[in-house]
Formats: sequence, structure tokens, C-alpha cells
Amino acid sequence: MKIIVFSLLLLLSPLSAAEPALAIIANQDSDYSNLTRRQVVDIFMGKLTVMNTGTFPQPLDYQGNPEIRERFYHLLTGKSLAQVNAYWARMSFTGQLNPTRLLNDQKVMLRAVGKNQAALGYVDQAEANATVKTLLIVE
Amino acid sequence: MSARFKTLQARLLLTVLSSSLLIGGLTMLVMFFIAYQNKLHEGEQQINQLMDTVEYSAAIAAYSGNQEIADDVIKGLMREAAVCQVVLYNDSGMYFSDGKYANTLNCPETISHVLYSPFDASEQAGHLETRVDRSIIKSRAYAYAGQLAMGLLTLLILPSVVIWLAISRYITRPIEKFSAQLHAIVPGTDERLSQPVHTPSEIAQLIHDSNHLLEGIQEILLDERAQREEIQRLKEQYKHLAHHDNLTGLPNRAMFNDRLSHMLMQGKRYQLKGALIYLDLDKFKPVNDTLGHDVGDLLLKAVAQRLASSVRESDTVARLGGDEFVLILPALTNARIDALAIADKILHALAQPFEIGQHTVQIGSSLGIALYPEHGEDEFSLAKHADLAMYQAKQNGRNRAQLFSTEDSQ
Repeated sequence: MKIIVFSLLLLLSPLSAAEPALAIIANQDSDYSNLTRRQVVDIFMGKLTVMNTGTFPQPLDYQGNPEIRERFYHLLTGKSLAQVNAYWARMSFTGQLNPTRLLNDQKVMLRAVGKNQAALGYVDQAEANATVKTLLIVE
Repeated sequence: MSARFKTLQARLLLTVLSSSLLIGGLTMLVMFFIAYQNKLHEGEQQINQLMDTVEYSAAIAAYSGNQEIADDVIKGLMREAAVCQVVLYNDSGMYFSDGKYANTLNCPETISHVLYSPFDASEQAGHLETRVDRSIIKSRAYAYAGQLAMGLLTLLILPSVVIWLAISRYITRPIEKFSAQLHAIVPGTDERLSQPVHTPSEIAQLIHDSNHLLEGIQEILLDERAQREEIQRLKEQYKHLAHHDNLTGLPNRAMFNDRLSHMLMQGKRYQLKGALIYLDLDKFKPVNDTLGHDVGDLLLKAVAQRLASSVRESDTVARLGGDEFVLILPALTNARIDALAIADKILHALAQPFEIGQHTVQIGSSLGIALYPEHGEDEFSLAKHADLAMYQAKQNGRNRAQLFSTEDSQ
């Protein structure tokens, strides 16, 4: 009986388990106010390179292809990480490089955002603390 | 139309070629039209497909505003000859383009595709527009349809030509040859149709059978000719028999009557004189009785020969039957003297002994002469008087010639 319930849970899990939400974070002293999803996408895809306030946004991302990165792009654009990488491959072919800086983990992310007023990053909603400003919750 | 066109060969060629040209032409037209329309549609679709292919790159270029990618997309599209201008717009008003023709009159048609952001399908990123040169698509479709149609026409005409060649080789030409040969052949001669060299066929059979018929006809005609000749020969024979004596070959009574009439007619017309001599052999009956009929017959033949050689060619010697002979002597200058001279000659000739086999036969003759017109002007009286004169000669002791005298008739 236990086995059956477990199996059912396993089967149902992809449907029932929603992806954990992410928080788009910036420096507490930055002049970023509420960002739209589209602005976030445009910044991370290298399209939006200068804000109305005059700030040059510095998107920060994670090194390698960790789960959080996959989730970020998926929640934001509905695209897989592979598709995003393909986009960048296509772009870098023309000489335009990915502007995102790559970090090791969420702790480094929080620290980096805390030190740089132009930086934009993302962490699990639960990790976002008072050292940073949460601009948008991506679910 | 000339005679040549009436030949089977020419009619066949005309029919096969005209029908294949007609069918081929119609099929070609239909196929050309269908292929042309299809290719035209396909040409337009190709441009759309081409645009679909580059759409993602174009969307990236529009989204990111990347010049190089935009150029790449535009150059790629411009490689297609039918595309004369490509314009890529994005939502932030950026604009890239390339165009072979500044003049858009040639390419009035614009195909426009909306570009969406690669990261948000609901967000419009820009437009990709191409101007298409329809004349190039048309000329491509035209060339393609033309090739297809020509190929089809060849495909239709070639077999027709092959079929025509085969039919003419195996059927019409042999029939023409056969017909010409048969036409030239004279029935009943040795001429025959030449047998075709190739394998047995209905035509070979026809030729063989025709030759058989020709053979039969020749036989029949030869038979008939032989029969005709036989009939002619018999006719001549019977005609001769009707006018000649069977034993001696001398003219018979019927012919004698004709000749006598003829002499009288000529005599009247040209005032000619003539004579009629009746002749009876003396002592013939004893010869016949003692030596037999065979010897008698041979004797009669010999007599006939001597008589014939004793007179002129124009004279007639006839045998009336038994040992009775008669001579017609037309156109005498001095009737009395001439007739007597011939009579003497005959008397002398027949007085000579005859050698008949081992027998030597001695006979004599009694002749009665009637002169024309002195002793009669018609057949009847002349004959009667000659007969009377002969009777007189016998009365006077045989072996003599007696000229008719009016006293005898009393």
C-alpha cells in the first residue's frame, strides 16, 4: 500500500510540485525600482544595455549550468537553458559577447550584488535577505 | 492529292503522326499549363519557406538589434534571384535593408513576415519584408513547364514513330510489295511472287497461297489453251472433211459445186470461157473385185495424184464418189482446143500402168467435156452435158475423151 501511494506521488510530483520562485535582486542603494519581466529578460539577453536612469546594468549569472540557472530562464522566458545558450552562440558568432558575469553560487551572488550598485542578480526567493533589494519575484 | 498519298504507308504515317501530334500536343498543353501553375505557386512558396528558414535568425537580429545577424539574414535571402529587396525592421525603429533594384516597379509584390521575440512569442520584435520579382518566378515556371512538355511530347512521339516503323516494316511495306508484284504479274505465266525473307507471318502465308493460286490459274489456262487448240484443229479437220474426199484428199462434191458456181460467176462477169470434164475410170470394178478394196483405194489415190499433176493450179480436180472424177478448167483462151489438150494429157496419164504394191494395174478412163458457155450457162446444164458426153465416150468404146455435141442430147 505504501509503495502504491509513493508511486502515485512520484507520478504526480511533476504536476503538483511547482518550481520554487526566484527573486530578482539588486543593491540596496541602486536606482533600480520595480523591473518588469521583459526588462529583466532584455537585460539578461544583452538587449537592454542602458536604463532610463542612465545606469548600465550589469547582469550576474551562475557558472556552469546549475539547476537554478535552468529554472531562471525557464520561469522567465519559457525557454530551456540550451535554447538560451544557442541564442548566445548565435550572438557571439557575430562578436557580441554575453555581458553577464558568472558566479559560483547564491552566497557569492548576494555578496556581489551587495557591493555593486549596477549589478542585477537572482537567487531563490528564500535566500533573498535584507542585504539586497528584491525587485521582482519570478514564479 | 498525289498518288503517293494513297499508299497504305503514307496514310499510316499520316494517321500515326497526326494523332500522336494531336494527342501529344493537347497533353503537352494541359501538362504545360498545370506544371506552370504549380511551379508558379511553388516559387512563391519557396520564398515564404526561405523566409521561414531565416525567421529565427531574423527574430534574434530584430530583438537584439544585431547588425551582423541582420546582414547575414538579408544576404542569405538576396541570394535567391527572385528576391529583389529585403527589409528588416525592429520594434525600436531600427532598419536594415539590401536591394538589387532601386526600382520597385519590377517587384511590386511584398511578402511580409512578423518577427517575434525569441524569448516571448507574444512580443512582436519586428518585420521581415521581401520584394519578389514575379517575372523571374514566372520565367522559371515557364522554363520548367516547357522542358516537361517537350519531354512529354518526345515521350509520346517517339513510341509513335517506333510503332509506325514496326508496322511499316512488318505489314505495310510487305503488303505494298506484294500488291505491286501481284499487279505486275500476267496470269498464266511462270511469274511468281517473291517470298519474304523474314519469319513466317500472315503475309508470308498470303504470298504462299497467292503463288499457289497463280500456279492453279496457270495450269487451268494451259489446259484451256490446249483444249482450244485441239478444238481449232478438229474444226479445221472437219472443215477439210466437209469439203474434201477422205480417201484422195481431192475436193468433194460440195466443194466442186462451189468451184463450178464460182467459175460460172467469174465467166459471166469477165466474159471468160471454161470447161467441165467428167471422168470415169475404165475397168476399175474388176481391179476392185479381184485385187481387193485396199488396192482399189490405193489405185484411186494414185489416180488422184496423176490428175492433180496433169492440170493447172487454177483448175479443180474433184472426186464425186466411186471412180467418178470431175475437172473444172476456168479461164481458157480457146476453150475447145485447151480442154481437148488437157483431156488428152489426162487420158495419156491414166493409161500408163500403176504400180500398186506388187501389182501392176492397167486401167483407162472415159472423159466427157462440156464447154462454157457454149454447152451450158448454168451448173445444171453444163454438168448434164458433161455427163452425157462421158456416157457417149463409154458408148464409143471407152478410153477416150468425148466433147459434148448437141446431137448427143437428142
